[in-house]
Amino acid sequence: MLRFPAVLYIAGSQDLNKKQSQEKEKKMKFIRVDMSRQSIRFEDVPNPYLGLGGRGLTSTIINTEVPPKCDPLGPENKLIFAPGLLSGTNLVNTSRISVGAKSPLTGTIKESNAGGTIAAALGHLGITAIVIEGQAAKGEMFILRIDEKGEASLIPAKEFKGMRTYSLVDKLLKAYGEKTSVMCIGPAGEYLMKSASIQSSDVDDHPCRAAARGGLGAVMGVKGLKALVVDRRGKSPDAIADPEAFKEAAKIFAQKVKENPFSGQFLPNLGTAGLVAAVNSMGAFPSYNATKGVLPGWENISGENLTKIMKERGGGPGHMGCSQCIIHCSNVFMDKQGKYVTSSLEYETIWAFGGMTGIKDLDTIARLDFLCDDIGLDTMNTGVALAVAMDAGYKKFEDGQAAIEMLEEIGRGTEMGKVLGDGPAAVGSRFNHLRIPAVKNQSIAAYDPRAMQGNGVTYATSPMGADHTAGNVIGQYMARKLDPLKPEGQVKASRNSQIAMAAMDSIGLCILAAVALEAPEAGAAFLKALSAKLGTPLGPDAIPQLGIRTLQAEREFNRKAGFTNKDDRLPEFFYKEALPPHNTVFTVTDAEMDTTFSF
Amino acid sequence: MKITVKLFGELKRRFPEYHPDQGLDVEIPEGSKVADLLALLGIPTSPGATVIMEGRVLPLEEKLINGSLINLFHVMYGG
Repeated sequence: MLRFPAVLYIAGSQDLNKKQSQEKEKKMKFIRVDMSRQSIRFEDVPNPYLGLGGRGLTSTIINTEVPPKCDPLGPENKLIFAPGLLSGTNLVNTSRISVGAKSPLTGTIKESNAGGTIAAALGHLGITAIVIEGQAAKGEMFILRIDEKGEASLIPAKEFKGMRTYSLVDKLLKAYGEKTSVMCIGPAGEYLMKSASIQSSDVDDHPCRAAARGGLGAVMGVKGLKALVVDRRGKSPDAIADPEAFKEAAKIFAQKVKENPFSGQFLPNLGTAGLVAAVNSMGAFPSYNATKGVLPGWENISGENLTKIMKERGGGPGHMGCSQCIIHCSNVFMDKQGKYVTSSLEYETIWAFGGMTGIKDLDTIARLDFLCDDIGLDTMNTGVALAVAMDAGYKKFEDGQAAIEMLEEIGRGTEMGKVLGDGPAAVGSRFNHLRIPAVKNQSIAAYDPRAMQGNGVTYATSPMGADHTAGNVIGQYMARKLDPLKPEGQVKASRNSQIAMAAMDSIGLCILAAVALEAPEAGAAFLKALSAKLGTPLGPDAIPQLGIRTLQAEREFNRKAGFTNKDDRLPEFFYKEALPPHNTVFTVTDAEMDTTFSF
Repeated sequence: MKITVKLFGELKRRFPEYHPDQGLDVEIPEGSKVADLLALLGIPTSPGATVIMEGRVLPLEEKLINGSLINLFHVMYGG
């Protein structure tokens, strides 16, 4: 849960100073790529999109330009890559990219957010957005390359067809040089699977980070785009209006990120995996397809044990995954022989392949994480799909070998592989199994809504489908500000978190660095940096207003696509099956949930 | 009374002798509260440690019970 200092919630309506930002933003590059004709057009940033970045920009473009009822895998859908407003500046932890489209998984608007190096690379080239339109003829495949000067070209890439992401990135770096950032799809995206991700290369050029959620890899696949390749040596970033003020504010903010115990000490040593112990201790770790809140033997897959194993074998925590990161929450996992297995093994992945399947072996989980990255799959949607298949009796819980075989089936695109690759709802439907922990077909994350009710509100109401990064409330529970088991206060906590997250995703600040905004000096410095970048003094409500505007655009699109409040509900079993050890069900009422977006 | 405390994340670094399987045995006067335990261990309540017993996040003013097993964490914000 991200909490802004109170100063950022002061009521008022001061917005970005559009006139000043218009002058400057017009210098930014806005690229439209028509895959049907293989043509590329550079434009000034259209007026309605001025002053926007990241999720705020992708969602506004989709709400404006994409027919809400269109087929997500048809030519009318658009796939948009947009770095955050501050990506490419010297502010730490701002290499975050938003990828947006209408989702083939949820049918809603979708923003899928990834780290790595590409957001900073696009920022250094002064590129605001790349809009992929139309679709190539069936069987055609291209690479979109942006060179050091910001020139874009579409390159036929049939030779890369069917290639997995690690081999692909290897070949692309050989072709285009080592200073190259890649976002790409694997076989899952080419098969148009609904769990297909878009993988993003990290500082070591491993495609281990992902815009994973919502099946946007399938949108990229159907358009005939295998990879976006961007030169990292760009030197034409958007100007900072007041560079001195920006530099000073950025320095203070970086200090605060280092001083915060979570971002400065905890994450470099344990990574997000440190949450395994805490969420199990709170009885909220959905296990065995969300039938238990504590995984017996969770100690084996805890962040503490992960760190111990990684240090014994080489690799380890404290790894820098994204450009300009000073937190280093990432990691490198080696096998017993000291050979590379995977990077960026995160809490949610450990939960999906560990807790949900009952597999308590980090070597198997790391292997499954690698396979997802290599095939181009959302680890969460895939792990939960496997768990539903196990719950339905297709395979046994705790069977690591069966899990690996199921992922290989997805990689080969077999009949069963295609069902598994479409996620938990498709698997539930195939086996006529009703316990499907998903909202709008997208799997929940590693916080059970019966033991963390506010996260349930976020899963149900987020315009994205079930999504923890859309508004996580765990920080409120751990800081003793809210009782996780009671319905009171949960809607408000989810609302505030959803607003904050939508703003951070638009600005391009990593949400783990955003935790530092708790300190008033950090909040003030961050606002100062944003003001200095845009050349206009921002009022204290500018950031939440940005979040609210983004959520409103997303809700509007979903309404036009046919979604109503009745879709903003959890699956029935969360209301009926009590979760041990607390033996609670989800109790926030529908009427309360319907007020989540009463801004 | 005696309380057993398990330390997670970086908190264990404060206690070089700490072993994760055994935890930390703490002697504390009868009637002590959660805040007293944190003070005894030298862990500041702000920006935050989280004290969990039997799945419940304990408020600082809650009285401790002899023989309890307590899990102690940094405040975390999600992954």
